[in-house]
Amino acid sequence: MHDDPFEVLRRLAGDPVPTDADRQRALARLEHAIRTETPRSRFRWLTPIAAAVALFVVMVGVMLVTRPTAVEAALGEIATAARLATPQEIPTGSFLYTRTEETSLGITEQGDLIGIEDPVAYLLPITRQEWDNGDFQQLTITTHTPIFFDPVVEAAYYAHGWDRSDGVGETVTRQLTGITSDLATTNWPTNPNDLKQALDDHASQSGSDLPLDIQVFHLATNLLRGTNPTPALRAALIELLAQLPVTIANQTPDGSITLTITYNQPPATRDTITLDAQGHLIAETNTILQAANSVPAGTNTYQATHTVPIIVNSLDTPDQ
Amino acid sequence: MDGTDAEVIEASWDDPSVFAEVFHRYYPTVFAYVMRTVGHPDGPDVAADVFVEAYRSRRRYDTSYPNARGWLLGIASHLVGTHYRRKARLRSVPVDETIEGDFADEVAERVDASRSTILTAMGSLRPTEREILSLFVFADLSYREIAQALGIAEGTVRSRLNRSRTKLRNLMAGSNEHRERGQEAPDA
Repeated sequence: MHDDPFEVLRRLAGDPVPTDADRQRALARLEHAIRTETPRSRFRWLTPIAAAVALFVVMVGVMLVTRPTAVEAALGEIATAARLATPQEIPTGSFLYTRTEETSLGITEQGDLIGIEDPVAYLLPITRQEWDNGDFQQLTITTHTPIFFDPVVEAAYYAHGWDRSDGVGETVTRQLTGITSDLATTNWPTNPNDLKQALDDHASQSGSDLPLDIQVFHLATNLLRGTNPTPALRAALIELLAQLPVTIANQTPDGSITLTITYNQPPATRDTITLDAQGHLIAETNTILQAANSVPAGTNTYQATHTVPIIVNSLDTPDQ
Repeated sequence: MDGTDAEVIEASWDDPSVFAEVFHRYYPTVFAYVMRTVGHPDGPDVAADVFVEAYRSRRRYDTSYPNARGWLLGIASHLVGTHYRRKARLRSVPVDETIEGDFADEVAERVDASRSTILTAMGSLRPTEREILSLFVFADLSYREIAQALGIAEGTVRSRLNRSRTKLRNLMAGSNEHRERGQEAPDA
């Protein structure tokens, strides 16, 4: 069987359609919940107050015990610069252009690559270009030659046609319309404390088993990366980062800063992001800190560099 | 009533009956997702629970999100996980083992033998991998949308999906090999 397992799953899953009886039973349960909610709802207002009080106590405790003044100072400067920046509005017929060079670690399991006994790992670099004007997106993705750690693996990789399945050497362009995300369309608060609360709430609905701070760090990174935030929101996001358990990994004379956050769920992982002096996200990495699935500790499982977004007037690759 | 999902949900804060509009808009979507992940006989109940849970959580809905699809699918994903954990507790065996066993057993009952392999293999995935896979395969969310929905890095989504794809492919290949050997054996 050579089918892609995900395609097999999709075919198997089919397109289930509820019967009228399913619908009626479900609606009846909802209506029952609506009818019976009132008596209990009188006490529900206590829950958010208790949660707010608990959150306040925790935040005060954390700030008193571990207040990262160096982080706050460094990020405060960048936040100020971000807040004073001119809003980047996209004129009609123009696009916001970003170019990302990223490398992901591909891992196979034992015996997956025929002729190789051990699991193998290789790096797969791609170039991702994005033109975006809010309603329309064009993505152009070029997959580059993988980087191998072992010539035997490299030979087996090409011998078995994995380069074709990875699309090595190919450039694919997709044009998308009407694609919006909740993150991009939400009017996020621009007060860092309110923003933290909003992102906490958003993260708590995700069902993820990651610690809340890590989820908020990822949400803030996503907002900085892909949503062309307003100057006020960018500044708030940067100030919010100072409330998280981040440390400064590097600072350069041009004002950029690299922040690190670590979490210890197996496998322990460290994420870093680099912001330039105006608060643009220009680099990120995910690093595995414990060996897992044949990947040695310290390996970057993902790394990317992003250009600062610019306004362009066509869907051609701009000279930079 | 007309209006965005956010407007409907906000209106339901004062007039709870309005929340039924959310049900009418999204029941087929939620039903399809839950049935693809849970199946019969529990799927319809879980799908119904999604709307009861959403109704009870409606005051926490962030009305700056005009579209409630992601919110509802997030609740659905959470309830699917709760469904398997609850079944594990009822059987009084270690949770992780039972989640995998339950999942494999239930999906295997729903498909023919030749294809049950891949669904059984899903039971070997870790819960976080399965959650990402389900959102990718059964809800058609992109890497970036999953990353945003779960609050994890896009690269993490990609690597976990790659790992899941490799695991499933290996198990499919292993099963085929096993079948081929089994068919050859009588002739030997």
